[in-house]
Amino acid sequence: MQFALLVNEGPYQHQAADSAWHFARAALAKGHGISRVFFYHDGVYNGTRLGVVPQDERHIPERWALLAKEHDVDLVICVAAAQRRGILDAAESRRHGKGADNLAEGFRIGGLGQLIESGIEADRLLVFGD
Amino acid sequence: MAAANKKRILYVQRRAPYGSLYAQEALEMLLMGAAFGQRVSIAFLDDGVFQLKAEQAPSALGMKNFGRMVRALELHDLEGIYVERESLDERNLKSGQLVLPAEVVRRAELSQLMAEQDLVLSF
Amino acid sequence: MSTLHLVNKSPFEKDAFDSCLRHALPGSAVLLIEDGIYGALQGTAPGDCFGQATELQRYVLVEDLRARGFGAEHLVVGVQVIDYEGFVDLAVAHELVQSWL
Repeated sequence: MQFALLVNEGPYQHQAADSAWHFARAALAKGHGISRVFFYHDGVYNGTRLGVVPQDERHIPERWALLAKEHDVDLVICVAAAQRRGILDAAESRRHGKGADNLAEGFRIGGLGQLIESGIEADRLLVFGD
Repeated sequence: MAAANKKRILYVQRRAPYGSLYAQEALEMLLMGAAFGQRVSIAFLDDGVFQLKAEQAPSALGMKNFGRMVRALELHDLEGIYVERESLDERNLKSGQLVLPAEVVRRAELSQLMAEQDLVLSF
Repeated sequence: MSTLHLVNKSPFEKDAFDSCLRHALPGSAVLLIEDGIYGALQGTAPGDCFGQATELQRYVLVEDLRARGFGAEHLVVGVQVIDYEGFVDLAVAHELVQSWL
């Protein structure tokens, strides 16, 4: 079965990103697919590469990236939510003349249409938020 | 796309506006997603009914008028705009105080409606 | 059609748990995760309410339960304790998953 996940909260502040990741891992371990994880609202902060995490704590953005790499999961940061909150990839940064970008490896910026598409195409869409 | 292949998508609005951005970004998603030709509905319940209150005037806060965004729902080809009767009553809101003529439904009807969807999006 | 409802809020803080129980149709499933697990504790008003909702299939996520210092022995009767693997199985078994945020 193909799952799509919607993550509405940032890392650390709320457990939602953890729950989504644990669900994804469990689903993959059972032979299911995770077609896409879409990050909305403060969830876009999961995709920053500038987080400096204490060594004894889980590194949430890196954990997502690793999952994506090993299992071909599409990690999509919503462009509208990301622009509001200052999460930019190199192209977006150039386009808005910001001089810096901060999107972590393994993530990409995409439109809301990608979430709707996931909702239509995946067998199940699960929402993790606050 | 044939009607039978269209997915029924329900946006569930349970939060008041202004105190957080959830309601606004949920609406932004709906307005954008409405273009995908699915059978889209929106339901306002619990504190979400406050989103529908007429005469919202947030200009002193420098915030966008959420009531105006809600009214844009009428311009889209939505399957339904529902508001829960019990949630209105609990908050002493009358249907005449709402920014648009949403269909007032009983909790039991709304529960049924939720269960009939292909997708329920909550924020 | 059958729905799996997810509740991740403490019933002592937010109305998600109450609203979910008011809207979940008989025969549907409710899984408590994160702070939602506090809704299934014995000797509490929300727990009593959850215990009495015998028309629903009721579940609690064990990882979140244990993390918070509780175990199956603290839960009201009629609630099944499942792990993430069980969570995935529930999501597969129900055509619709609805989160009460």
